[in-house]
Amino acid sequence: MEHNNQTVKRKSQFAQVIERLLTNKGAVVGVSILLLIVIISLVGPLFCPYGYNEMILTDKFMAPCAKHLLGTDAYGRDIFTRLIYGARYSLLLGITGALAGMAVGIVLGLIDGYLGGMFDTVFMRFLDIWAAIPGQLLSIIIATALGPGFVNTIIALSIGEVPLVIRLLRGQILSVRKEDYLEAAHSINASPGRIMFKHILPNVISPVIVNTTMNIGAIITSAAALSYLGLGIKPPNPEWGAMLAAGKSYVGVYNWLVLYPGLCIAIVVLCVNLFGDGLRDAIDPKMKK
Amino acid sequence: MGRYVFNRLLWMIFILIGVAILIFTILYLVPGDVSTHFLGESATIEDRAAFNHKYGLDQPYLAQLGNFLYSLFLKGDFGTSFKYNTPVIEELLVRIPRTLFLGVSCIVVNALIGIPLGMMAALHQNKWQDTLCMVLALLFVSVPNFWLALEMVDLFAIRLGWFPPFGIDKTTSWVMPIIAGSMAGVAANARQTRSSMLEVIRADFITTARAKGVDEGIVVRRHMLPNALIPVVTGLGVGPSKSIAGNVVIERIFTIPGVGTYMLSGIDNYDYPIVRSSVVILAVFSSLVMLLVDIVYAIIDPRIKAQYSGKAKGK
Repeated sequence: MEHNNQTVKRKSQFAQVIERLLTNKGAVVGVSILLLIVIISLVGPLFCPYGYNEMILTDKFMAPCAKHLLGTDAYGRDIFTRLIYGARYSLLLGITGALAGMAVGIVLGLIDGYLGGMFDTVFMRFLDIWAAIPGQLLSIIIATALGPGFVNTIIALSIGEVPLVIRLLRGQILSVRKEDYLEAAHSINASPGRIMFKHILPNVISPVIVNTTMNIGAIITSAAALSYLGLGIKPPNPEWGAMLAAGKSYVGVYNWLVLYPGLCIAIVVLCVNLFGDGLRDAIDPKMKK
Repeated sequence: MGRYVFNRLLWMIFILIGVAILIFTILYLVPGDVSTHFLGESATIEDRAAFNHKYGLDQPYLAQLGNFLYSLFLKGDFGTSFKYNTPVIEELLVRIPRTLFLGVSCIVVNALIGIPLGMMAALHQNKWQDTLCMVLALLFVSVPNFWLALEMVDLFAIRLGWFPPFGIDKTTSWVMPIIAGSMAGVAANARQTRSSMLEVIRADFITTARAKGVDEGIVVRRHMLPNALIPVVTGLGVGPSKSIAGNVVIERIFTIPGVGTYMLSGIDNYDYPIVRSSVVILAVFSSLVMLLVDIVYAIIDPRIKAQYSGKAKGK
């Protein structure tokens, strides 16, 4: 390839991914709906006639109607309002949970890949133990130990992700370890931190990003499940999973209590998954065929 | 092959000891005094001390841990429930078969529905069958299984009365939990089967087979499937551990008295011997299933088998 072409090509790498992503109908639809949900969850409360925790005891268990679009719950709280507020929890928990897991995994994975040798052997054995407890179970136990709350739930959710990220990264690092550019970096006396984050990381990160994006959906579901079990976000906070838990006793009687929160989770997870699949195809077009 | 299995089993024991230590430590770090919960705020200091002494809670961390590991792995003693004052193992033995049954059924459903779906999608790539299967798979991964469970209870149990809404009294009680528990797995299997089928579908040996005039059905069954299913089996390895251990929420919704609901009741009641033992048991199952899958994998993939039987030949 000619020399002057190279800078042009390098610039367009990110743009290429975006371009491919934009041609993917599913991803575009997914992102659009997600953006819409984000906007509604931010702006919506300004227009809501009710507070998310405002109890109108005369309006208990009202079916969806003009006054309460999606009905009310056992305390006469407006479901629609609560769902709008609840979107923040689900999106934030899903995204920060995935990012936290990715960040911890990246740091540990880089250290492991960089040090290698004895450290790697011992660390991998420890990881075997960590991964032997199925993720959801580990989340439940950690959430139990930490108690409910926003930050604690994020920790509980991300902990199950870490071993996967580390394994993924480790495999990638092993494949670039002998590359010339790393030897070059060593030879000019670059610090370990610089080598890890400036030289290794950019070359190994894309599968991790794809994996993390594709996990956000699962994390949102797990977050809702934790709250459902009473271990995540506690009522009266309008978290969707917690709303499901509150409505479960009325299944078959006041079915809107369960139908709409669940539908919200499903839609958000679906959109995130559409985006994740699109991103995977855009970053790695080989996989699509 | 025998040596491989033996080594894996040996390694599994170490992993399980590790799991036990990890779980014990996490639960040990839970803030708050367990005795307060059981004896109430008004309990005297003497009563609490007696409670803590009875269950060994007054000993230092390492002593408690040592005690726990010693009785768990050497005596097979899973401890005594704080709340019911009965040995945990008795309750576990009754519950284990139910959890196993649910988990194994889910795995079977995953494979029986997921693999054909994926095959159909791959064989009709880019046609409507493909789109349909992949849309279904996407829906199955996205819909939270516990919400689906609740909606199924609403529709099939309460409105239509086809299945009991909870419990395990009748055979039909299992239908809804199994459907809810296997959705995500069906989707994962369908996707994996599709992509690995697509990888072999254009392989040279398929062209060769067709060129020889081999019947298309035989091409699919004898030439494509065995090659395509190898990665699917690996994928199955991740699914089962989820099925066996991840049905905790499903168990709770349908009030199936399995290990999962037992663990959750332990969590609700601060009854940590129950929680610890349940997690260890669930980890045992998921490790065993993983091992089983790895063995199957080694059997069906001659390359892996060669690695272990002909020791250090090539390497």
